[in-house]
Amino acid sequence: MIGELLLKEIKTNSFLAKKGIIKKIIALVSSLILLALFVSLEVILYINIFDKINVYSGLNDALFIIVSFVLFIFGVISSVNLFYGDFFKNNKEKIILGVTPSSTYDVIFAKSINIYFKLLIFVFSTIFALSVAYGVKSEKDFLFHVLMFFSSLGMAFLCETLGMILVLPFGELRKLISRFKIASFILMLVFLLMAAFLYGAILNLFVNLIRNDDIGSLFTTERVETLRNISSYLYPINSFIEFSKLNMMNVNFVIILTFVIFTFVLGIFLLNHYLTSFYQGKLDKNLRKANSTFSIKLTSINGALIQKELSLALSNSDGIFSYISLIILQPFLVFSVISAVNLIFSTGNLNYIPSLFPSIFLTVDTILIMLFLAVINTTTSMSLIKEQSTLILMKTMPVSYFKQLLIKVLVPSLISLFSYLVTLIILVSFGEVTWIEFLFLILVGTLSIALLNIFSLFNDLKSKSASSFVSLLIGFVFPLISVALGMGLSLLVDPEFEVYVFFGSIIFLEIALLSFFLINIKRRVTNLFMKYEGEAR
Amino acid sequence: MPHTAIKLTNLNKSYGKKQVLYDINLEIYQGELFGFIGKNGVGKSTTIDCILGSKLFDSGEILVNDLNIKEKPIKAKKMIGYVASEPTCYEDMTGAKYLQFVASIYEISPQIFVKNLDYLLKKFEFKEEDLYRQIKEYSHGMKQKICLIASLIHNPKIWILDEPTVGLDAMSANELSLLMKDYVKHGNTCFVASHNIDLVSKLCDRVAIIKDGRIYQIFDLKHEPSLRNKIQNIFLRLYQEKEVK
Repeated sequence: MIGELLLKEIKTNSFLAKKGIIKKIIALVSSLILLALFVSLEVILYINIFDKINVYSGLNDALFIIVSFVLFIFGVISSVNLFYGDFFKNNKEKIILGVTPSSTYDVIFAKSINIYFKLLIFVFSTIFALSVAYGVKSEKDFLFHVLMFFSSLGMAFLCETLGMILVLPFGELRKLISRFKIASFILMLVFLLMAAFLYGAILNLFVNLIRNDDIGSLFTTERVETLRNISSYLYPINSFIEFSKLNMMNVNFVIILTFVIFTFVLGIFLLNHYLTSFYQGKLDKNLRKANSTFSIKLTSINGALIQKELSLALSNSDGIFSYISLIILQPFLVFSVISAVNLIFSTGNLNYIPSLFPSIFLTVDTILIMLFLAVINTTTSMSLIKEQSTLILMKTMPVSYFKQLLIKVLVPSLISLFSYLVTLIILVSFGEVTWIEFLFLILVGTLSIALLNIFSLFNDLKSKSASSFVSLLIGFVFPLISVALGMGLSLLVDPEFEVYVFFGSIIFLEIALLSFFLINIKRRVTNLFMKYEGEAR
Repeated sequence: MPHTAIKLTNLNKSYGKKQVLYDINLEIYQGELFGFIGKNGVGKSTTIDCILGSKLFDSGEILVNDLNIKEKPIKAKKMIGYVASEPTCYEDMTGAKYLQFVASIYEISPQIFVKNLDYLLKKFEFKEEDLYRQIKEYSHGMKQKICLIASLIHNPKIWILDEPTVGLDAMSANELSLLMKDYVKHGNTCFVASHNIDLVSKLCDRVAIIKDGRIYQIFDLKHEPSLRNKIQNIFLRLYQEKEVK
């Protein structure tokens, strides 16, 4: 039974889920190419870093353990997320599995094996890649790589068992905070701010290494000593690594084995207890106590539709996460990346580029701003596909289809615009863009948001399957084409008119495309939505 | 002659090359409880979708209280309350939020909302405290009840139900039957599609049997009560004939 269940898991969660042999092959090949590119880039980066810090005695070892530990933590977080997706989110699947002649252990083992495969890919593409770079630069023998291979198998398994244990408190916590919207908003805010600062610190370190500045200021003797001390406490990763280096092999092997077996047994026991309780209906008793006040808040049709869209967006923690990331992360990420790129091109090894190509700042900054805008707008846009099961409600409401769809597009557009304006204000305040660029960028961004959301709407209405990929592709391709056009035309004029021609051509292109969508939009959208009916019931 | 609430004239509908409805002609009168029976996949839900204006049809005409559904869809839709075969609502909302959303969309006054809500909560034995939970936390039966309440919150003239008793317990199903009877007594019209022949034959004034996208026969049970016991046999014979063939 485990075999059948595992086959089902693999078929529904991998490239095999794609329909048609060509789509399967494309999905597999593109994933493999992306993975190979990622690993190659990563190994080159690690080798460069190890090269630069080689002069500090013992820093290579310490950094290897610390980075491995950080990656291991990411692995555990991914594992929790995978278990959460499999065991908490999909109640329908749990019910279906509950009536099959399979035990809860069969379900747990099948899903766990599938998750283990995913964690193996993660560990081998990150920690093992790091160990290869470390092994090469530290001139380790072949046995080290063989033992690291087995250690990576063990680390993936440990990520899995810790995920099994932590998913239960994580699931309960999510359930709890999802009931208190303000609390969940604050929690997400804190989490994202921490993530944003961590990202900023890593970006700063990366920029320093790329600029080839004196890294002596980064790694003082005290800091190196502190890093070495920290690395000696990072169990169980340092045990895995010391085991691979053949240091105190027996002791480390016993520590690892005991810890893995303990977490595995505990994880299986807890998951089985959770699934059994679910099937016995015991979890229903934990539903929240009802509120006893009822205030009637009837509103206008437009108000009700706006509230519905906001409710769809913010009612679950995923929605809150994406909206907070939009509001918080976009300004922070755009500022961090643009200031880093401007710094790289204005100082250090690459400062000759602006003298050859003066509009590099304008071009790169605009591309980055538009790309961020496209990516973040896609994550929050209200795709019709999200409303597939409630489509009949939209169709039977006594409200014109155009009005419903307009509000569906307008709500996320306005939120995106708000976040975008905050981003631009930060950029202009810190002098990363000039005032004239700021004013042009407002127009460019507003038109981009309108264009992307209207395009997504038409795309959704015309296709029956998920079309976010096409929208994302347009989000990436359009900025590149429009900026290339702007850059090309700006080269033809005097430098003092460069900005006007650059932005003028982008705005012209956006307005031309937007006009194409806006002509007869009411009639076209209404007709498409009337035909958008799915399959026969 | 009573006023016609729903009128279907020569309704044809296809999905791609596959025709699913053939020249459907139906007249459902005001104050009537009309049953629409047939096996799964014969066109019951598609007919309903066309009446609701949620699906385009190839040819024919549909009038809802004399309003052409293609020409005056918004006015026509305002008169209809609809319950789908599967509970369909915004499950991330609480029950209270969802009902207020529906009431706002149909532009009813707060006074009518409170009055209707109070009546319907009692009728369906739906606890008020459950209104403050997210609908996704409800059982299947509770979801069906909140959809039934939402369909009536705006006092529709026409109530269309697609397999309404699926997922309801026996008590609630019985309560729903009584509510349907009560509803038509006030001059409203009820159109119920089901494969539960027992429910339809006991409850409805007239019943139409649909088979392979065509209306096979319409039975007037109000004027010929003896037919109530025969419908089941007629229905079974009709579908068995097909299987034998």
